[in-house]
Amino acid sequence: MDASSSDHESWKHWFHRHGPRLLVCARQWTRSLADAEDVVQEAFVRFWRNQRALGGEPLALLLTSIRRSATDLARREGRRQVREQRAEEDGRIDEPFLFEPLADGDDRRVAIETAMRRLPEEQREVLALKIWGEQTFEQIGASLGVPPNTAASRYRYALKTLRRELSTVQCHD
Amino acid sequence: MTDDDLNDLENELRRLRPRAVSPRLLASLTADLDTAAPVAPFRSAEAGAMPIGDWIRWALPIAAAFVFGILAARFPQGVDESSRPAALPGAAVASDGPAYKPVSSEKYVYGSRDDGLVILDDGTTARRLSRRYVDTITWRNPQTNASMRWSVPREEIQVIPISAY
Repeated sequence: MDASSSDHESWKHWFHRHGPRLLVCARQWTRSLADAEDVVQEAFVRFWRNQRALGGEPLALLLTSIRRSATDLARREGRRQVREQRAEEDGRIDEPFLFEPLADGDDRRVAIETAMRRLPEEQREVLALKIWGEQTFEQIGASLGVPPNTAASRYRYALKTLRRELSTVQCHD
Repeated sequence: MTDDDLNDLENELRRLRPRAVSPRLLASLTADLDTAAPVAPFRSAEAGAMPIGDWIRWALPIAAAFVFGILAARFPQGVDESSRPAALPGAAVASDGPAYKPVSSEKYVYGSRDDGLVILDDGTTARRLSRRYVDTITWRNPQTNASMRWSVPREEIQVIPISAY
């Protein structure tokens, strides 16, 4: 993926391909989908205007930039986030799901997303970066400031926890 | 729980397709990227980042100050040149240049911008900050008390390597 290779490639085409995955990753660092959209917008505009000619891996750069924007947003709006977090914990926020419905029954997708939301943040972010951000553990480690082995461990813990959660759901069904 | 279980789950997760982005986000990006001024390539933006309006705003007072300083040095207190006593040969040279001594230096920050993260040639992630200054240096001639002020706008680019965010 080379965002600077063609001047004819519009940002819309590029964003159509990669925007949804950026949004899934951004959502792991924000309290709401609206906040995730805001930080993706901020990072993408900055990237498209100033950074795409730099070369390198655009997705890795964007994901790191999105995470930083999310951190800045959290600092700026700390009090609002506390309110939202409380509302979220109370189950009062009914947010749209992040993934397309599955053709062969949507219950499984709902169960996966619900289980994902319950994961600890440090596991959830690694999972999103690995699966939908398509980052290596080296890239994830660099982005999060942890060794690659730590990123790999968190990923494995996330899968195990998800697997356990989903098994429990199946048992109850 | 075996590795196969985890691999199956991993494959199942990969099959989940993220939803398309909302029309609200697309509209916001369109407003930012399509209706804004043409996007400047990164490197040329670094070379000439100050808008033309800023140059005019700063250049005019600078030019005026420079001209005023020259005139003040040449005609202190409005004395007619012809009424002055004739200077000795060599005295003019001594009083023109070296008589002015720098008396103050100021640095005024009038703008800053966070350009976000960049990746350097060696792969290091860094944060790029731009700051715009006006440096003002004042010289004074102690003999005539004339002063000359010199102001120059400049932009400073700071690239700070970071381990990670």
